[in-house]
Amino acid sequence: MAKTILTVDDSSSIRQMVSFTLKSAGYDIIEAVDGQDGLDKAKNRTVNLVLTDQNMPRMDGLTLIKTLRAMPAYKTVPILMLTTESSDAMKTQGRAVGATGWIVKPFDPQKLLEVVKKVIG
Amino acid sequence: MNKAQRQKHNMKLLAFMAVVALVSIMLHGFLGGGISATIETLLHVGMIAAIYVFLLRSSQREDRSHEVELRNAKPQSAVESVLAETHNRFATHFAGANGDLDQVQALLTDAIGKLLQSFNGMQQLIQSQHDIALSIVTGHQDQENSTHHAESMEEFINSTSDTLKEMVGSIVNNSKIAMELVDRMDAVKTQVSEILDVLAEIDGIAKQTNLLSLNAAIEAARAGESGRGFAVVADEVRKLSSRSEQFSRQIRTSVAGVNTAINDAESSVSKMASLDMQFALDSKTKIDLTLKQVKELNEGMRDVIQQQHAISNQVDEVVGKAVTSLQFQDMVGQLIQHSHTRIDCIEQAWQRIGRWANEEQQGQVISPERIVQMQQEINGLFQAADNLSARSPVRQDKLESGDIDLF
Repeated sequence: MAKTILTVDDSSSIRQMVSFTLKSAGYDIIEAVDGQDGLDKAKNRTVNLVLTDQNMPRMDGLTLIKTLRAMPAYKTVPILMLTTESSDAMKTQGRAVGATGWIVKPFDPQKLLEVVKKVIG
Repeated sequence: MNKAQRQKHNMKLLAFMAVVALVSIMLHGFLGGGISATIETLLHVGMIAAIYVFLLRSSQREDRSHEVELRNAKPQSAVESVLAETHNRFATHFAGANGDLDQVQALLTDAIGKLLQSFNGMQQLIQSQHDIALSIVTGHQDQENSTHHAESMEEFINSTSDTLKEMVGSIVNNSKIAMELVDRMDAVKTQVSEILDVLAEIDGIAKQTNLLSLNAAIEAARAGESGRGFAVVADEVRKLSSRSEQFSRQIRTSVAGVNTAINDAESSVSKMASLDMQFALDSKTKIDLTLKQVKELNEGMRDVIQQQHAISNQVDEVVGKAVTSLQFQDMVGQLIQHSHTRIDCIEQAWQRIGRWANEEQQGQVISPERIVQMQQEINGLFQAADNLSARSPVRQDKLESGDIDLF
């Protein structure tokens, strides 16, 4: 059974690119337009991996991670940040709230695929 | 009141006073006033003239004072006036700039989405083309099976070649055996010839025996009655000799038949051996050539498939680079949003300055406390813009793929 990945980004083109890259490798993709939408969709079903942007309307990525980590179903689900933010301070915050990793945009599709495979197989 | 307005006002006042004086003179004259009344009237006119002069000078003083006032206040009033008149137009252009940025972002999003769909379609078409090529060559539509099939094809060619070699070897062996058979038949022919020689000896012996029996019969006849028994023996010997000769002829005939048969067999076997050998060698040459062509064709197709596979991989790589590059839209979008917010800060500051200019122009007195509050509001807005500048969400200035950290 194909593993499911939730991609959360307010940029439709980034969501399309992530879907394009990961669908070709056989993953099922759920798209969310911001942190709140991502949280709503994560509540409806448990996913195998969350890929989230940081700067989004309504709810940012760090808040989303913090909220998800408070849910028993998402204690151990890998969550990767995929953002243009690259400062060490932001990465430290991400690690503190429970992010599994940090990918700085623009992403290389092949490298993204390698990381996803490494994290969820 | 400006200078022109004041002069007009003074002229109206002077005209009113002149009318009052003329009416007074006319009343005194017509109503029978004397010289003293005339003098009184003239005094009235003088007073009016004095009042006019006073008013005129007073007006001139006011004008001079107003000019000084204007000289002092003019620069501030002009700025205020420009601000009051233009702040709405500035607001319109700020809104227009924001609208343009929104439009740029919308166009970029639309274009990138379509480009991405095109790349996706292109990649799928190349994959389909690759699969079709595989299916034409192998009947399978996946790389693993096609490779296995190509190997099977090579195995088939090698196996067929080996079988043919064995078959040709077997035919060659048969031919060799046939040739040995021919040699052995030659040996049989020699032996048959020897038999014939022996038969010739037997014929000779039979002839001599016949001659001897004839001589014995003659001698028995000469001996008369006493040789009668000997004559019987001689006759029997002659009969035996005749039978020996007859047998010898029969054997010779049979041996000649055998010899002919052996010759025919030798010829057939020799011909067959020769034909088998030639056929086998010709067939082997032809089949080797065919198999070589099939092998070359197979290798050629495998090379084509491998090249196509390599091209497919290269397309994947190029599309990957395109996908990385197309993410500029996300970064540009964030920068546009950032600029949008900064323009909003500047617009708000400009709006407030314009509003205050309007208030001042309308004659409202701005207290020192109010000025401090205004400065604080403006500083607050610019501080917000400064803070935004300090934490731009995009720091990259090149489209190289970013770092990846796994915690």
